[in-house]
Amino acid sequence: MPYGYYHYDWRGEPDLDPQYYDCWVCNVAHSVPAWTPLFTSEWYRLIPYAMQYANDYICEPTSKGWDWRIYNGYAYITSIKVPESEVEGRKQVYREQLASIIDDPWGYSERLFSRLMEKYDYYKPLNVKEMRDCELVQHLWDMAELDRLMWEVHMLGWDGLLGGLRLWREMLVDLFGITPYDVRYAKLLSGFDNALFKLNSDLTHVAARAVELNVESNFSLPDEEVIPAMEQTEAGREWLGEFDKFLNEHGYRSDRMLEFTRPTWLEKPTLAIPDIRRIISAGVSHAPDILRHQLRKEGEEIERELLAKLPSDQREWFHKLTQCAQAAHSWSESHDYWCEFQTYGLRRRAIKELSERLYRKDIIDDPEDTAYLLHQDLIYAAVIQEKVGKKYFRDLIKRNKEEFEYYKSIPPGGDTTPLFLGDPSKLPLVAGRDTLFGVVAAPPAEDAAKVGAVAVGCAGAPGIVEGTARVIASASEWDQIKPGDILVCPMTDATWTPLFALLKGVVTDSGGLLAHPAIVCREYGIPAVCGTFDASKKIKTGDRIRVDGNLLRVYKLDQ
Amino acid sequence: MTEKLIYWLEELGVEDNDLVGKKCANLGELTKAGVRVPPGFALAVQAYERFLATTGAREEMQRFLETFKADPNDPKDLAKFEKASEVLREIVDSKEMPSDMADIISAHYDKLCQRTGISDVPVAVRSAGPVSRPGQYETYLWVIGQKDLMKKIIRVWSSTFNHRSMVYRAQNGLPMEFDPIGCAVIQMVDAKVSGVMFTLHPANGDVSKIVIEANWGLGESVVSGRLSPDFYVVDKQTLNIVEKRVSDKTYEYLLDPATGATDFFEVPQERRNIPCLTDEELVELAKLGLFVEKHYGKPQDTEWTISKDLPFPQNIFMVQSRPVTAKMSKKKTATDTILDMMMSRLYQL
Repeated sequence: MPYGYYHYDWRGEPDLDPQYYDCWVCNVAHSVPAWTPLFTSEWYRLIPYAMQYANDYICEPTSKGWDWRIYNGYAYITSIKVPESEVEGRKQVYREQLASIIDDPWGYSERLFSRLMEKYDYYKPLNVKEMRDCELVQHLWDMAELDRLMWEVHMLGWDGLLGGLRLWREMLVDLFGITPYDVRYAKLLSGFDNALFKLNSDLTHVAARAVELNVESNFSLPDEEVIPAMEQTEAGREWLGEFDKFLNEHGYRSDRMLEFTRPTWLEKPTLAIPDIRRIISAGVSHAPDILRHQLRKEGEEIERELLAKLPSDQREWFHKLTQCAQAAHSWSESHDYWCEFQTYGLRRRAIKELSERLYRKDIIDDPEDTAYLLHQDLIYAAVIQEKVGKKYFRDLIKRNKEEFEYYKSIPPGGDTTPLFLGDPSKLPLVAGRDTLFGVVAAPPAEDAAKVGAVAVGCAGAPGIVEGTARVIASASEWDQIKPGDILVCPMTDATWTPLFALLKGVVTDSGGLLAHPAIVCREYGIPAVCGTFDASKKIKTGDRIRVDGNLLRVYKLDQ
Repeated sequence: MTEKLIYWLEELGVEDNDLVGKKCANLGELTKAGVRVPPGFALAVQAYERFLATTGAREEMQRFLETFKADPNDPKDLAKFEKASEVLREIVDSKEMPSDMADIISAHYDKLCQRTGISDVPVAVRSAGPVSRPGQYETYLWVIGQKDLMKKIIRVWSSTFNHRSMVYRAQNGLPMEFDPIGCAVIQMVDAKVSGVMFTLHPANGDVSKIVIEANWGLGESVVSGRLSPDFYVVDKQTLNIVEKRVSDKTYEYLLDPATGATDFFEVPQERRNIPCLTDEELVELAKLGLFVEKHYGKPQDTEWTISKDLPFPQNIFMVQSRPVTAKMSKKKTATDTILDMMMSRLYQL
């Protein structure tokens, strides 16, 4: 029996229910690489709930949020239709909710973040090592609660802010002929600071200090030896002081955004060393920092030009809508920092403490094994009688581990996990009625074969570049990336951001207009094509490719 | 030439609205009432008509418009209006000022130079429609010398064929090839601070208050409504300043001495977040507001500017005054407009 998928699992035979759902799309971005049973159990407990909760709150007139199913270890998603009789009532609620957001879009996202920040300020100073078992159990429940709040905030942000961005995007095309792949589109939205850019900017400062203090040669040592070498010299210790300050502020993050079974930077500072080394080797410049001011000035200038083309009584709404789009765009990048990074960093800390205690009590063979327990099992393990626990948990771990290995072995897009289930021609309906869905999974703009391209996307960042492809499946392969490569991968998330300073271009299988790679590439001024579904299968490392972010096409050269 | 095509401001009053356009008539009325207005003259609506007729521009435009078809309410057709606007403006702009008209304009400009004691005095050339259409027509600032003046007067006339005016006329079933306006030529004030003043609170219609919005530099930055200016409320009875909201004034509109054109400039850091009006200036402006309100007998919507060159209070000029429009208090908000568009465009509801 599969672990923790509950009613979301089709258990072998998909029941597509075509009367109710038009089409299901394989959510590759959230399926590869396979998540641990512990993370899976929490993700599927919270994600469908939070999406439907937030949708009910905002009340999008035509969609009740997303539905999820698991099929052969892969997630399939669709949007839920609203019955005709409910549309009018939802419309009224939606207007009221949106009116206050349109009046103050930046305030809306700030208030959402501050609900989380209050919690972080309370939990961060706690010392989990000193807790008694009963207190630790309580803290684990609190962390599950925090996780719930985080996903509610996360989805309220998306559902509340995206409508404005979507309308703005349409009006730009209709009024001015500006598409999202026009350089002016990127400039109108870019240049706003956010927490994630601050993290990368502070990391760049740490790298710069290493150069100033003349200790950067230590970075030629293997990762684990860099910090011990720093401890040997006066200058090295001074640098470690700066590094500690950085970790205390930004250390609640691991190398994989959606997992809490991986060590954070705060817990294992060595993890930050490769990123610092990359920044030093790229010449210690943080492109968005330098570009931001200039980008904002250009953005304001473009807005002035557009406003001047409108009749005077049309300017106020356009300006207001532009602010909504800017806030949504900035939110979509910074929410990862305030949501996943911090909550999972804290949750990780509690789980790690419990894992070590279970190991010391000889209930599990390895502290890492808690990754194979489901949340509802794990939470009781802290206080359960050792005599009972010893066999019970080892059996559970063994069973779940076997299943996890099986899921890891299934490739995406193969016969057992097609990219679509149901009628793919209905994808525009599914994406059209739900704004968030349209952002995450829009159909590619055209047929790749017809235009002689190897892949075509549905979103990206403007510009054209030619170069060598580097196909990367996951974060564990980052070390293969060389400066000037074009990154080709299933998907990137916020933990990948420091890499972008090295890249000439980016191609991803997943993602829409507001996906991480598209946003970050716009800020860094590098071309990107996203939402290609299968570029990382069709392109091999070493292939010479052309990325055309204006037309959203990727071509193979030298054919 | 039989009819009189040009008037000094002091020869005009509100009753001359149809003769020279609203702005010119108002400036004349203010001048006559004893309000400090920069000196200048006005070209009558007749001058526009005569120019288009004698140069043949009107006929050329009629020929072009016979084949022009576009729906002003369809956003996709906006581009067609843009194209048509380019053609029509080119027809008008390419014409020379007829010599008899040029002579009389020159004579008035020379006289203005004498009156101000400045040779080639910089002037503002402003449009003045008999019916107020805020923001539709164009204005040229810092125009210097005879030659440029002729060109800019023609540009103001041809601005009745700009994109937004064409769309407006099409939407309202007005003639496309013809929209007579007057034109004001007034001395340019080298502005330190400029802004607008309402002799009631535009947000709630409170007639016991005067509301002043101000930014550094020329008034265009406040009138266009694109930057957030300083916001002041003065009580009419006590002349106390009851509200003062100093905003972050990022840009000011100024003459660029290098190019001779006006443009947006970044405000130096030290002036961005300080009030651009002193309390003394605020009170003086409020008194001026009370005076014009009393003169016209109705709440007024005014534009004013404070010169860099003159001492207080001779440096305060009024450049526009008109009755507050009814729609100022109540209209569909931008948020409602956005929500309506969301419903119809995103959800087809």
